[in-house]
Amino acid sequence: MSALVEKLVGEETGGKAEPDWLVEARREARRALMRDGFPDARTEDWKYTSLKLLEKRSLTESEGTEREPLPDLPAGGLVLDFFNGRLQVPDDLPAGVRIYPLREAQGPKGLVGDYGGREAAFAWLNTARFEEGWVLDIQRELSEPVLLVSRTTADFSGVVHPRLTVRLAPDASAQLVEMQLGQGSGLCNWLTGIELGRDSRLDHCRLQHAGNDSLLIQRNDVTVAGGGRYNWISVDLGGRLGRHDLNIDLIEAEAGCQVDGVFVADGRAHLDHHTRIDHRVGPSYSEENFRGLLSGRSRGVFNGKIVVHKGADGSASEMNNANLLLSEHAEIDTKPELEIYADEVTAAHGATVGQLDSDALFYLQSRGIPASQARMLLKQAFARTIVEKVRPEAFRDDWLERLAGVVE
Amino acid sequence: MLKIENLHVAVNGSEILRGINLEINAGEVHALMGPNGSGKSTLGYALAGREDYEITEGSVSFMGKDLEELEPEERAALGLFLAFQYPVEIPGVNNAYFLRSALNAQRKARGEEELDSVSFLKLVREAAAGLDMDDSLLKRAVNEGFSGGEKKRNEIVQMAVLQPKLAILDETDSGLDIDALQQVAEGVNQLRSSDRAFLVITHYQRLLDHLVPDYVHVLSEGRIVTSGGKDLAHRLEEKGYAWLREGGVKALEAG
Ligand SMILES: Nc1ncnc2c1ncn2[C@@H]1O[C@H](COP(=O)(O)OP(=O)(O)OP(=O)(O)O)[C@@H](O)[C@H]1O
Ligand SMILES: [Mg+2]
Repeated sequence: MSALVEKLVGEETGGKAEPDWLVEARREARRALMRDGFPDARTEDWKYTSLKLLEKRSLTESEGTEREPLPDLPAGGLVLDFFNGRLQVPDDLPAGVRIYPLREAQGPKGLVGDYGGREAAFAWLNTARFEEGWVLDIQRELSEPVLLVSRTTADFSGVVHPRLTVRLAPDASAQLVEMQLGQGSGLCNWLTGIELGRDSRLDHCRLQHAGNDSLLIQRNDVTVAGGGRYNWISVDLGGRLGRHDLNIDLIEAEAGCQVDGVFVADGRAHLDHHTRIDHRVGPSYSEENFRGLLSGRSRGVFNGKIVVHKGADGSASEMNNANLLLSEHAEIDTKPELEIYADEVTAAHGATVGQLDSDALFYLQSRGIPASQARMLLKQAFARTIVEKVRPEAFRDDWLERLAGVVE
Repeated sequence: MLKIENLHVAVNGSEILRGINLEINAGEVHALMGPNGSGKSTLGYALAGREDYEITEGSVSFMGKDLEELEPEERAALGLFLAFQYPVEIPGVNNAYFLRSALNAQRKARGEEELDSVSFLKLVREAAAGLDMDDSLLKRAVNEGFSGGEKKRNEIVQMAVLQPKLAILDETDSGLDIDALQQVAEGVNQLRSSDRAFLVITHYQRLLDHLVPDYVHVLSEGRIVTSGGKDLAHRLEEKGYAWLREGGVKALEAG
């Protein structure tokens, strides 16, 4: 048994009374971890992202610190406040919304999956170790956004495994604004499941503005039924080690998704985004646009995979990844992958790595803008084009401001 | 105001300008003509301070300062403006914000007070209205998706707001419709004053009909081969540049 398994998986905990299906799911997760262990340099999906930091840090079991007041948010909504991994269940729920512990669900269907081998170790780990998982059911069109705030304190040095499944009933729609604001040196190992019913829609905007020491591993599994629409916009501005796996399964005809992301990495940050979109039935649609802005000694990884399965005829898919490498010590590894087994598919993908546009730089300078300011403007502009799509607008403006604070 | 002496400029190691002499005084309008590839834009870029445009011989002074010593933004603050032949698209940078940053950076460099957003907006709206440029273009990203003519108008709006001492207009007339040409000419004429000067690079007589240059120069293979009054432009319009190959300026004058 590897040191990481020993450290992170630990002993079986007999805690709350849990139904048999959940006890069994947790055992299965343990078995998977004991059998396969954690990814290493030979694990294809992890070859650029090492877990050395997790080995080095003590990552003691987290102590429950006293809940601090919620920071001011740019706008109101239904707040799901995860403080050091623990959800504060909101008192007032709008009509058509229900939230309950995962253990109260009827069974594992749609809540616990067969995650895979060692590349999926953190999903297994979350399953084995989460303290309390939650299910958010949305039955109708919500007028106010759901605000998911995930924060840890500066003295947080442990490991937490927050877990949330969001389910949208047919024809329901909602905005989900997620803010990852972890501080401290501990590890947040998030698992989110999102299930979109027929003709439902979720606009999910994610901000990661964690502290320079924070470790964040996230997996987000999404299924979209016929006519459903999932839009994801992701903005990474901080963190020490960030790994995000986004898996979108378009399981019926006319399902679609739009994925936009930008990561701004500086200092010693290591940010890794793996996205996978499966077109199972045609026609289904996906569009992906991911950007990386790397300075200092930072490292970025983008792996975007799109699979158009046999029978998903008439699907359309487009993926683009653009990166700016602004320092000779920074590094980016990008790999767009496209696999097509269907007919009549329109698909395009591309990736670029470049520097700031010298023509644009000269144009700005020729108008009187000093070189350093011109560079900053262009860097911000590169990221802005993604951040500007964020809604509600109050969050867009707040995140643009944060962006301006990070890119100097 | 501008004094160019025996200027040689190399781009990526190849010599493009080969000994240019030109003096422009306050209040004057100079036209620069010449065949494609003769080095007109290169001169504009070299004056504006583009990287990789290396002065290998000669000198340029502007407002009493040696230009070679100055960064592009310092030249701009001194009052040099280049309207680009091909204005650059900058996605993600708001046009109005860009222009305000430019104006305030120049003012700051000159020790003047910065302009608040209300006064700025008034200024830029006036400039845009004078050129019949739609307000919505100010809210868009710099030149992104602008039509050819819109880009050229945007250059002139910038000029009107920045109020340079010397404006170099590099083929600002190309791609403009007839009304726009007139508006651009008007824009320039409005700025004309005894303490400003213009260097107008063009292929056509049309713009010069409105601007009436004091001097016309012909650039060929990196040198000014002849200079004259506004009539020179008329003769070029008739005769083209074949005379350059057929015996030089004498052939032009004889014909
Ligand atoms: N970056 C460069 N590298 C090499 N050669 C260059 C470069 N830029 C310009 N040149 C060359 O310098 C010469 C002069 O170009 P320039 O753009 O100044 O011509 P121009 O007189 O403005 O022409 P036009 O009327 O077509 O605008 C051309 O032969 C051009 O190919
Ligand atoms: Mg030219």
